[in-house]
Amino acid sequence: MIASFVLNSKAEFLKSKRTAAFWITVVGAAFVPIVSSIMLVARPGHFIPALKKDPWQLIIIDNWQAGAFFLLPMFVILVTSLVVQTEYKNNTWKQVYASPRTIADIFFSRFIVIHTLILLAFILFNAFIIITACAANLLQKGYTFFDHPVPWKTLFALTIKLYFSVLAITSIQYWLSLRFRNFIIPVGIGLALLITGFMINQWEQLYCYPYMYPIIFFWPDFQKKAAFVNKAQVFDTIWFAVVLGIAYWDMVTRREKG
Amino acid sequence: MQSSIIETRGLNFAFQTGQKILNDLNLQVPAGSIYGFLGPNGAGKTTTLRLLLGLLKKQEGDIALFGKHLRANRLEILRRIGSLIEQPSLYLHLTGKENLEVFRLTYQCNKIRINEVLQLVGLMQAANKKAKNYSLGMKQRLAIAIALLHDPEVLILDEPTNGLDPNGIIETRELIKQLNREFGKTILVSSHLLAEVEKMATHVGIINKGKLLFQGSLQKLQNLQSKQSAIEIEVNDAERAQQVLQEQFAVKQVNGTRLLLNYESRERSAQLNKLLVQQGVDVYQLAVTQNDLENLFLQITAQ
Repeated sequence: MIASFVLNSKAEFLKSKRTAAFWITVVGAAFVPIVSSIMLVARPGHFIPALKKDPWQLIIIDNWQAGAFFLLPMFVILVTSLVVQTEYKNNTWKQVYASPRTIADIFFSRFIVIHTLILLAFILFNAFIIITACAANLLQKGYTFFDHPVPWKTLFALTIKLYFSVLAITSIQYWLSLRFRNFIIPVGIGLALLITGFMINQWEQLYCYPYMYPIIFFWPDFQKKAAFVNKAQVFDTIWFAVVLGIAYWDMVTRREKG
Repeated sequence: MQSSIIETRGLNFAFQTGQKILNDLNLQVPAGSIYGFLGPNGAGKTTTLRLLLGLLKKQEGDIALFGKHLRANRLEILRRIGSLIEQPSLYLHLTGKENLEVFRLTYQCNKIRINEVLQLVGLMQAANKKAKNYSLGMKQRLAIAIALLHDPEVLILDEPTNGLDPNGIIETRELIKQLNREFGKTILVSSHLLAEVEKMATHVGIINKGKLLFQGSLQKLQNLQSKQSAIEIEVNDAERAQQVLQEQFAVKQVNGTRLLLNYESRERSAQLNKLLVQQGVDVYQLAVTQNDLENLFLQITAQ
């Protein structure tokens, strides 16, 4: 059974080859670091003194700050919908359901692909930060990136924290993407919920709102309120598990498959 | 007597709106047959096939394949079935070979099968082309290749010739016959074209408005058709022709210069013609009327 799940997950990865979901992962991860490095090259007078003391720490925080608030949740919304959309677009759900696979296999193998793409985006994002900063340093000798070690531990901790912050969004968006054939609906709902989050960001119970977790887990103001962040972590886990359970149950009990 | 490899008993299905799609359907597909599942659009063919594959939740009745209940043995049964429902299900951004690889991983069959099935459906040359660049006929053949990948005992094909050009229709039909003849596959193939089914099926099931009107061998259907067939004659003087024939033949209908009689045999048709000519009636045309699906339904329901 495990061997079958592994093989089916491999098949799911093969399906994502050359898809928009794959390309958005690569291009999305490169976008912020490239823009950031252009700024480093274009405005050395401003950035060289600003990044003198601890260049890696500052450039990493700067990049993640730009990416985490809007681009990260937006990327998760898009990539989740695009992975599921591969079946709708090609009218292949019926072939998937008519093959000898358990519903759990069909459900979780695809979810693993989504999470792998998200993790790949994180890895690429970090790699692009380092590569583009070094490239900027080659063009503008005044920067001191080569004189300082890359803070791998900080980078790793930040990545884990932000990955954890999108778990609830992945399960909600996965359910929506499975539920609606039209790609626009899950993306539209996701975007609306994200924008709503920005509008209610002063709300005291914001820790219950899944689309704001990337900000809560990252933004320095929230970091000062440990109890609030802890509550958000608990709610993130609950949202993730409960909605994933509902989505699975919905797939199992669906009257018409494919 | 051949045993049934696919069997439904008292199958009923209605949509949530209450619209009844299947009504007490008792399908029996004999092992080793090409079973032509015939019916007009909207008759319930696709619904039946989707129920057989577990794509729709059964409401009433029993479904058994290989003598086992579908619900309790879904995975085991699906491992022994290849299917193509409605239009081909292909990942258009992947090549033909990659499409097969996706399903090969699921069916856990040997890599060599990919080339074998590509060879069988004649797509070896286009194996590395993206499926989106395939013609409809090629897509259909690739979908059949996917259905054949794990060497299943049963193939369920829903209107596999739909949308194909005449050449594609002939190729697909020949492939279906070859798979049955040379590889012993039992094939359940749906169609809305009687002529198409007659050219390849060994057994036929006719469905209309969710009800199975006829089920049996093609021979049985042809006997029924010939019993119900008519001869249409065009003559110069219909009244005179009717007088000449009335003692030996039963004229069913006179329509202008045309007469309609029951078809009995080839010999009797020759006698009829001879009699008319001998009695000075000019015969312009004498033909056995073709039974289209619509007529066949009328005949079967009239029985």
